[in-house]
Amino acid sequence: MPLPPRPHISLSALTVHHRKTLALDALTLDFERGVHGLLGPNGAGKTSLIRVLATVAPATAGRVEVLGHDLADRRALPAVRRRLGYLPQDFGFYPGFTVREFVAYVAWLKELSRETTGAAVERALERVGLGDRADARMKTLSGGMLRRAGIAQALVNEPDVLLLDEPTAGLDPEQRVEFRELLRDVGRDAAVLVSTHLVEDVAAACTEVTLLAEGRVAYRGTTEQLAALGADPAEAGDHPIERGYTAALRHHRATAPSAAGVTR
Amino acid sequence: MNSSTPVNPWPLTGRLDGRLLYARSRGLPLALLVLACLALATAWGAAGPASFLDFERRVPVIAAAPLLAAAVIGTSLHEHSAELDRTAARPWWLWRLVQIGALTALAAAALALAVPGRADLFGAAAMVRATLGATGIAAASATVLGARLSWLPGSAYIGAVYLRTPLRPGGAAEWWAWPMQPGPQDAAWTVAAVLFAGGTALYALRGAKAEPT
Amino acid sequence: MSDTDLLEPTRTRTRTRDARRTPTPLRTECLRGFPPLAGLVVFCAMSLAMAAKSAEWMSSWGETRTLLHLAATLVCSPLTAAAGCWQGGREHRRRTLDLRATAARGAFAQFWPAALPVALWSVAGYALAAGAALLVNLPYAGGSGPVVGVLLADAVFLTVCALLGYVAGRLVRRRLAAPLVAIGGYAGLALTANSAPDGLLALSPAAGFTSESVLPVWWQPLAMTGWQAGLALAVVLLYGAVRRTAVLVPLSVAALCGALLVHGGPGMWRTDPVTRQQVCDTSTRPAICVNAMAGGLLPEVRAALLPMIERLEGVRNLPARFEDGPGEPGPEEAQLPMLRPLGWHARRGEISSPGLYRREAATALSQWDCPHEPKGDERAMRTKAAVDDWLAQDSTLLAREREEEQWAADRGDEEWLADIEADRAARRRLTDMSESERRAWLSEFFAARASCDPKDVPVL
Repeated sequence: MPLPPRPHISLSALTVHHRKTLALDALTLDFERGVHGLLGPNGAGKTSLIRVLATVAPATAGRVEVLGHDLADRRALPAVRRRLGYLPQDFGFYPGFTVREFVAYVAWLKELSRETTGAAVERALERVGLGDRADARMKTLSGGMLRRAGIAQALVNEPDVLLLDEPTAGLDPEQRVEFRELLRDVGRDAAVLVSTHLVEDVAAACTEVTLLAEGRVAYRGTTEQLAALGADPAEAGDHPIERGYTAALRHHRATAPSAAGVTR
Repeated sequence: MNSSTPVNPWPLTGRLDGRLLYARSRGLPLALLVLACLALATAWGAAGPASFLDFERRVPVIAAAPLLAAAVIGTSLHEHSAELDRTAARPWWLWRLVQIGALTALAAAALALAVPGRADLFGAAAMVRATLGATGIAAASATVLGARLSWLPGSAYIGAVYLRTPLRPGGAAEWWAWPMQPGPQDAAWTVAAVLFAGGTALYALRGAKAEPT
Repeated sequence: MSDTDLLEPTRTRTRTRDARRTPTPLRTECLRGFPPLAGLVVFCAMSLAMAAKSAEWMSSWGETRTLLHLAATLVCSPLTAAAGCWQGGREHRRRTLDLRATAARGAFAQFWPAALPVALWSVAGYALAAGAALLVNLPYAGGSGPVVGVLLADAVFLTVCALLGYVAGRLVRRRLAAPLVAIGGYAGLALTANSAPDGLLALSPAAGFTSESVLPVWWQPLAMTGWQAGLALAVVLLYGAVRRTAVLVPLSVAALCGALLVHGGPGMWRTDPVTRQQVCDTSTRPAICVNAMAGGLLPEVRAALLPMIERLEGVRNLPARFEDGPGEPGPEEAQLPMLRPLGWHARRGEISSPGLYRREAATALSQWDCPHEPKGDERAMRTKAAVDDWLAQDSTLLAREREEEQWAADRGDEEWLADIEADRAARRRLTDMSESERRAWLSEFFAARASCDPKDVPVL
């Protein structure tokens, strides 16, 4: 059985508070296999959602199921985490480690067996194109390489759920093209969630788009549908997706009363 | 975050005077608070009946207080935006010099006042000297290891010579066991002064080593 | 032959090579970043602390084990704790907390590869410095040798400090946390080691060797290890939050060992039997006996005393030996000038000033052998001083006498000048005697030791 019958990620009425601010407001969503773009203005709740899914932050209310396990059940967490890949927005690392050591360390954290670790590390590094820099210290890497090392550590356990928070920041155009290819490749077997501000990445790599605004879903659909929404050239933006993004956001703000953020 | 202007708990914040902003960027208000607490704790530790005759109680205090003061001063040399700082038009060496000089003077004075009794027998003199020397080491370490780790070499050195409370003051030990001399020994003062001058100058010229934030 | 037959061996080989090349977390953490620096710092601090006191421990196992213990517990342990604290603060500084929070391995499993390297390196630094001190001592130290149990218990204490420091560093995210741990540790340990009540003192890792001549009972290091390691493990378990009830096991071990220590109290330390033994050189007359604690110094002592012993050849009525045991010298014995504590006469396996040492030996040799020293008789005193000076042949003594003379002359102190001149005349008379005349006179002089009557001292 290659896949569980249920969706990879399932949220029902997920609510997250940060101190007094409401970050996510009763979100109900499913994510299947494939590459999902997570769009939205700053403060929309993208990072909050990814951190909850990564099991880093707790949900204030609601139910979160990842790979068939309820995240509220602490005993289920290791099983989920073994199948999880996560690139934090603020990717921290140990500057003295070599790239290989760092990725192997994360592999150990994910409980990969010793026998498979070596090959898994090599494969992850190859996939992000860092095979030739495997023995370089992390502190000697450029910004783009660091980002790729971060993606490699997220891929090392061949995750079923891959969470990437701003993965393309610091990548040059060519690397971004390769990265989208990689995303499509991973998305064939896994649910990939990519939070980003770069709509071109979404247009090129994502099959589905979720637009968050003020902790709620402002729009959900395929990439094509969002692009179609931006067919009107009068809308602000230089790219159909960009225009679709603005249109969806404007529509959401016009219809939904601003619930989130009132306490701010 | 994005709230209306909150009630300001600090009288120093919110004013746009460059000097105050500089002090806040270095965390100096907290450093001053810690130094004040340290002086009080030292006074408490060194007080008590005839404690100036009781070396076993007094020497640990004399050794620890200046070290801690130096650690506070050393960690305050941290620059949060080193890249940006280095592009500033103001002469940094002067600001650095003023910062370290003022903090050291303050710490030395406060600690000297905190130890009662004879000044020349593990008293005020030893306190001032140890503060100068330890701060010098911390400042030099900040340029080499970074401000956050600047406490390490001084702590290791003074901790190591701490066991060498002299049988007889004087001799070659005056030079290398300078923190553990009871008071007015010339060689010990020379070493402490050289360390302070050297460390401060090095820091003023080079600044703390840039650390990944 | 099938494909698998051909492929299998190659595949196994690549896999084992891969497995070997794959960096394990502990290995990576040990080799990269801060832990090696921590080891270096501990090594330097330990070496410096030992070097600073070298005159006082070299050539004595008793002093060496005492100082190694003090240096490890008072100097290295606060540093190790601070290093652990610094390492613990790393996740916060490096912003890897989120990454670790998503790890399948729990906090307890993550703890060991992150926290152990500082402990391992610190122990390595300590072991290197301690080993060097022991090696340096090997050629000439006397006494019952180092106590392996205490050395190991101190290494465990360093480990405990590193682990507890790490937990503190993970929990307290302040820049001043690490220096506070170091400096607070110095002051705290120094204060508890010096001025805690007996029961609590037994629990202090820094307490213990109160002098060079005590040894712990065999179970003291074990109980100390159990007490420290039990507490540390309990804290780590609480931090790792595996199962709260698991904490009870190390806690009860710690409580048991702690109770043993408190109950044992000062009674856990007995006198080193070696202090009651002496090593003797009987080829000389008087024979020279050195306390076995400083047995390695015997050749040095002999060399220092030899000029005096040569001058005593053929003299009768001498004490049979110089002794260096506990208590007063017996009849027919003279007290060997004090070798211990080291750093005064003896430093680094040498007698620092043989002339001065000889003068003290001569004084001891001509000492009255009576229950109560007879009241001073000026003639007898001067005679004794002349004999002592002549036997010691110490050039610094003559220089000092000239200095005194100058001083007395400057102050116009006639009485003092006459005194010095009388001393000199007495010595001259002794020097001017013929060999056989002097032997007879000295034999008579030493015979007077036991009579306890100054009138029996022969006229010089």
